[in-house]
Amino acid sequence: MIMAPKKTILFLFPLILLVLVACERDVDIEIPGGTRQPAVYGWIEPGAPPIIIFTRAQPYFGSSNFSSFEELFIHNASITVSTDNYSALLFELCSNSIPDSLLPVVGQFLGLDSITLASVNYCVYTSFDANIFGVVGKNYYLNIATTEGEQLSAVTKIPQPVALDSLWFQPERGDTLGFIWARLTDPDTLGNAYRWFAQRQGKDNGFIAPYGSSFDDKFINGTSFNFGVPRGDNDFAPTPEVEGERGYFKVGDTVIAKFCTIDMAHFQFWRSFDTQLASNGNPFAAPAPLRSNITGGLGIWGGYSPSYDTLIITP
Amino acid sequence: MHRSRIAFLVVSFFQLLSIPSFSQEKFTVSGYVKDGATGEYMMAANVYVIETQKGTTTNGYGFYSITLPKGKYKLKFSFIGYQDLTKDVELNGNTTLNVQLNPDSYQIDEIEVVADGAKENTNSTDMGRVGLDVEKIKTLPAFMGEVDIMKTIQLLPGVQAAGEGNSGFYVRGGGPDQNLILLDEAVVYNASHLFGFFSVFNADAVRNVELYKGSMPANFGGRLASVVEVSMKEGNSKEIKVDGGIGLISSRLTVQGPIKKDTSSFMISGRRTYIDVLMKPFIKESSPFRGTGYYFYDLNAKFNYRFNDKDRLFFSGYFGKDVFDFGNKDAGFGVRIPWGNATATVRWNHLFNSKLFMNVSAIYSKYDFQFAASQDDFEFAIFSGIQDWNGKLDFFYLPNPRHNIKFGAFYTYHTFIPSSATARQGDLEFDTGDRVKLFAHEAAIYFNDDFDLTEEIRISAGLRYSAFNQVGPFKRYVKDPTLGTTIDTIQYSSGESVKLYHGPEPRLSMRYTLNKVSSLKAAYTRNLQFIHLASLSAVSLPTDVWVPSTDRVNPQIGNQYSIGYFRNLKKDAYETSVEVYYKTMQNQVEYREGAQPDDDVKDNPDNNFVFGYGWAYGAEFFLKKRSGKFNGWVGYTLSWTKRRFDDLNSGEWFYAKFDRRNDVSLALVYEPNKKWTFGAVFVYAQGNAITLPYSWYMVQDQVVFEFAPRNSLRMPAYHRLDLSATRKGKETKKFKSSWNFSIYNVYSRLNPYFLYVDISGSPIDGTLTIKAKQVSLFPILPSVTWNFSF
Repeated sequence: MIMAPKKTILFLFPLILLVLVACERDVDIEIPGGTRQPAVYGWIEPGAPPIIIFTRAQPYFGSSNFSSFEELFIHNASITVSTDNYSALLFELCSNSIPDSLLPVVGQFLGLDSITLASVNYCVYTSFDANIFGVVGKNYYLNIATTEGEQLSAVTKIPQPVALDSLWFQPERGDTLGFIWARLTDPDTLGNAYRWFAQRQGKDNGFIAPYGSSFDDKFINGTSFNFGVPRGDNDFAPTPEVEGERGYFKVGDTVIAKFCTIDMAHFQFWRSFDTQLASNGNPFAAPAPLRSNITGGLGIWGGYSPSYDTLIITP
Repeated sequence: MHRSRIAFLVVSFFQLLSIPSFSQEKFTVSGYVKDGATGEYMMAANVYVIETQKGTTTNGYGFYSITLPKGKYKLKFSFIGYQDLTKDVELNGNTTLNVQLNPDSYQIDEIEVVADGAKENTNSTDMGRVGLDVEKIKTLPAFMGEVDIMKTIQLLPGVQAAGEGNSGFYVRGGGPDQNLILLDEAVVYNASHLFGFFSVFNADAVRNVELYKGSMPANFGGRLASVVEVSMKEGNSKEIKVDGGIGLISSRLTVQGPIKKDTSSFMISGRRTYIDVLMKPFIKESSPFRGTGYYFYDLNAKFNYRFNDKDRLFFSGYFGKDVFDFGNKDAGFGVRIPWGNATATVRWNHLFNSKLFMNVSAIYSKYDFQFAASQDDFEFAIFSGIQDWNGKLDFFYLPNPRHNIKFGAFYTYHTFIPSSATARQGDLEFDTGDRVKLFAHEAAIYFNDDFDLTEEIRISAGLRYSAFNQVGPFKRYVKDPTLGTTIDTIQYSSGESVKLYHGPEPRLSMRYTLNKVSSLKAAYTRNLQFIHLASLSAVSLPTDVWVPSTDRVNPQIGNQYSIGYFRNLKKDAYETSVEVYYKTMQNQVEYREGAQPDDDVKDNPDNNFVFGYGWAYGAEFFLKKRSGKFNGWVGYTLSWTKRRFDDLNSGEWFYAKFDRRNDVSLALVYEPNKKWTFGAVFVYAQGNAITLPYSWYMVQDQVVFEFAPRNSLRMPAYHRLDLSATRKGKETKKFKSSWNFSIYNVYSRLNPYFLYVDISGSPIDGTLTIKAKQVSLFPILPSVTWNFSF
């Protein structure tokens, strides 16, 4: 939560004034020229296969004939993930071809519930070749060629993991709702970046990163400090959100914290992602393009190096 | 070879200076022109010698000087809004003639030839210089009842407002930092209150406003696009006067008067808003915004003392502050944002003789901004600011009626705090780096001669030579070009030179008189700008930081070429002009794409800048009716302004965000009788350039945007009509009052302030909805102000 207030606050104050006096309405405007670039959303973790979700951007207005989610996926692309001494060609796997019983496991990976996976034909590229599963400290190169002749490439690293010192719950609203707090000792080298995920056992179908979940050590290099995180939103959670509990963890939850180290390019992407979500609708913010590490396309190819901790929130 | 050529030019120049007319004895008549009612010295008043059909104008301190052969002359003194005064002079020795002009108390008949002041339009070489009559401004409709000088400047062709409710402005395609705003010679770095809804100038304290947008004479420098010279009133030296007004959102009071009659006087003027007090009842108890407070105040003070005919001393000061407070105890959240300017000027006028006038000024100017926020036990504050110590020496030399010479020197010591931050959580202090201060010396010398080459041709030729030296203490963070991490730091000690820039700034303008009522003018100017305003957002904010030129940031260089045709119609009752310009701007500064406010912390802000090139061109059409019951002006500008940066928009050129193809402004005043005055303002501006997303894609099951090329889209057009009516109350010798009714945005057009694209739903379940939305600020806003004076 430490990085979030700074940016939100900076953008919030003029918004406040605007809200008091401004009026808003829909407007007809031509926004021509929207592109259909390929977009990569890919990641790799130690001991797990690389997962690439490969879609195509859609223009907003005019010539968009987008009608269903399934049209977004780019099929039959040649996607290769390599290390310095090994290369593997990924294959495309779609949820329609996965037996229903396996969907929850797949959902865990993708953060989607099995009902959604059953209703849309969700496609990913991956590999069962253990030689290309993630290893801490290695670089992973991504190369893509589409059937339309587009070429994309990217590189990411799985850095050394850094574990949290401790984890605890602090009530925020009443006695039962609150945030999770963690203590981190940042290594003395400058250039460490992190991303936090949390999953409530039995309530979330995957690890969820809240807004402001990524930060780097520019201000905290070499120090030990505490930070608090809210619970991230997941619109596709199997259990619907309870009124008033959005954003909070609750007494009785068993929460698994997945605290990952990420490389700088990966961090820049998530930081720009948070900025774009926060700044949309704010006239005082510059347009916030996402800082992609993909050459030839949009999106991110990122390595994660997790450390896991479990916190049982007791009254 | 070179040296003898230079010597030849110098000698020729001085020969030009002393063009012999007849070998007859010459004497100088000189003196001061004052306002007969208030004792204020009048600048730009006309002094016309009827026998020679030549004249001059008083300088910024009310001083004039004319050298003529021995003889008898009739001198006519005039100024718009005042009765002409003709004095007989027998010139058989150097003569001092001080006069006082009395204000007109009745309307001037439309057909009557207005004073030779009208000749300013066609005669002066100051192309692109516009003087604003402060009293006239007060009759125009005012936003929320607040008369605003900066808003009126935006009604002139070539000057564009930065946006709805924003008093920052752009002149001929240049950025908001390219305008030099001076209040009694002190630089005002942020002339806006409340994010630009009002300016810091309290019209009651202002005597005169001059805008230079075409050719800036050599005594001005440091900015590329324009100079706005605001002069405060001296203070009535004859009697105590009180002026004030009570309005819907703010009130003001000005007290001025003599300390010693006709020798020294003072003026104090203040203004404060009470928006916060008024808003409170409208904010619901349950609203999370309860606890919001905002106020601003301005304080102007002036004092002058006239020792004798040769020496005068002036002191002026300005102090203004905005404070925005917001707190939401439920969320444990609080924000406090104070910002403000402070300026002080001490000036000494000295008259060496009837031909040589000198002004020495010592000036202090400061602008600072602070943003402090807290969330539970997390506290965070950023501050930025700029502080100047400035000395100026200006000479006015009038050797003969053909030459009007100015020369002088200028020096400023700048201290910049681009942005420093502190952050703490409970007991832990975050490492946000040292409090960064940047230091620089800026200096210039200039020379300008305004002279008649022939009967038809008048030339203003000047040269300014300026220099800028960034000095330590300074820490340069050397960055790795690919990773962006700091790999080295270079430390400069106190006073050690980091980087020196210097260069010439030639200024040339020419007026060619075609006939009695029309003239052709042309100008070329070159300007250097050593300080820059780096802005993160699409709108000017107090968070924008001023930074100096450094080892990484070069000075901006502007070259402007302009040509114009000026014509007076109907016996000088109408002034018209057409001006065409072309400008280039080098070393323009922008933040790199994706820059964030906290990028600047523990880093040099200029490590996040990218540099590029700008060019602008356009045509300005202007028609002004100077007097009569119905008067005012209309202006139309057709213009383009473009930028090209290697690191922005993939190196492709793009329109600057304030590129506005067509811009129309109309200001009208109708005075049917002594009791009523009606005013109307109409503006039309074709949409601002804007960057919006034009495609979307999925990341982590979230819809994210891809943006269209920078500034490739346009907002809908902006247009607005304001009306005002002023009714004078019963006037006694001692007490005057008037009621002013203003309606802003009469037909309540919801002008676009900002556009964005809103997404709701998700493509996964087919509920995705994408809509473009427009945020507007002000619908129709009526207001009432009661003004009084005694």
